[in-house]
Amino acid sequence: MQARELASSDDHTQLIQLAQAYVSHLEKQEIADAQQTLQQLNALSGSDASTDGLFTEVGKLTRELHESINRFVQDTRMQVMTNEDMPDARQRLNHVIELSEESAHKTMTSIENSTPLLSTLYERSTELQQQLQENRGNHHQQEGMAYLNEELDAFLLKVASDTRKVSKELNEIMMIQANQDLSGQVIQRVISLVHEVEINLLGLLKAGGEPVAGQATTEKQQQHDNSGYGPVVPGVTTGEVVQSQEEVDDLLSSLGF
Amino acid sequence: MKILVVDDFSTMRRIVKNLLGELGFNNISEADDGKTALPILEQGGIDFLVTDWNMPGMAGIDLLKAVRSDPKLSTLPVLMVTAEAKREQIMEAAQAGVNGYVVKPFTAETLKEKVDGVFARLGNG
Repeated sequence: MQARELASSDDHTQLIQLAQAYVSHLEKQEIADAQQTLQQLNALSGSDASTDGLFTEVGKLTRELHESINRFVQDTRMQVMTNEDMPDARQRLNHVIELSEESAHKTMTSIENSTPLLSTLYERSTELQQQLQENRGNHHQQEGMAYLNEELDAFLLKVASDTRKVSKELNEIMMIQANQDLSGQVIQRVISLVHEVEINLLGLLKAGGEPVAGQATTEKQQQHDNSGYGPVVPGVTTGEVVQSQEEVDDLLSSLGF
Repeated sequence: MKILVVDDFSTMRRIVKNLLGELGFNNISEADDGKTALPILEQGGIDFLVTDWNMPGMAGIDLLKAVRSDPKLSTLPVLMVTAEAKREQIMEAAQAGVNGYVVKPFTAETLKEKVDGVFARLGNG
């Protein structure tokens, strides 16, 4: 193709005209004329610096494309990606949905648990404040205070216990944000797979170009270094994994910890 | 007591920092992987290291090994807080000299228990 590009634009225009004439002769079954046009076409396409004719060039390109498709299909990494990594990636992404669903629900539950506690505290505190104020203008202040003291005592106990409850709920909200880390790690692995597929597809598009599989790192390759496997994904993670902190503690204590 | 928290996810660093704050530890530095953590550790002054495993640049297990092989840092208590849950990994961390291992997702109680455990053992040892 490089040689063809070097041809002048005049040559280019003439090539197109000849090619159209060739097709037109063929359609009209004017075989002799067609052959003559083909010769002209061949002569013109071979008239520049290139030694190859147009057809040799097309043939070469076809072969290169065929070979690179074959390489693409037979590449074992491509097969692993198609048969294993892609279904894994789908499962990983589903797991991410579950994680974000879990954190959204837990957050909403904590808010739903806290809101009524806070509204009750708010209402009761304004109520008591009002009663205190009214009592100050009362002639029987002492009797009123005895009653209010009891009420205030009960209220303050409630404040102490309910604010503890709300703190606990806030803590729950904080802890469930850990799902952002877990789902982020899972998504990072899918991104590296998508990147690897992209590189392979690019290799295929550049017909005849060398396949570049293996430039991106995926989980299967990462297993050889120390960067880890990422969070456990149900249905994807293989091998012996611990299911809880208790199992971690048991394993460590069996090792003398 | 100065603590270095190493995790590539800022959300997790915030969570750990908050939990440590509740336990009374308020002098906390942060790093996002082993590579950035190591110079901070080498500068000195860090008394306790809390690290993730899976991080770009330098993984937590490599950071742990680097710490243990540095004469100045070799006795630094290290708590691993990670989603890595393979038995072989926990054993690898134990062999590399980790002082505690918390698997994500974890509870506030678990972290407290492990932090207390690390210091209790150091006190006895």
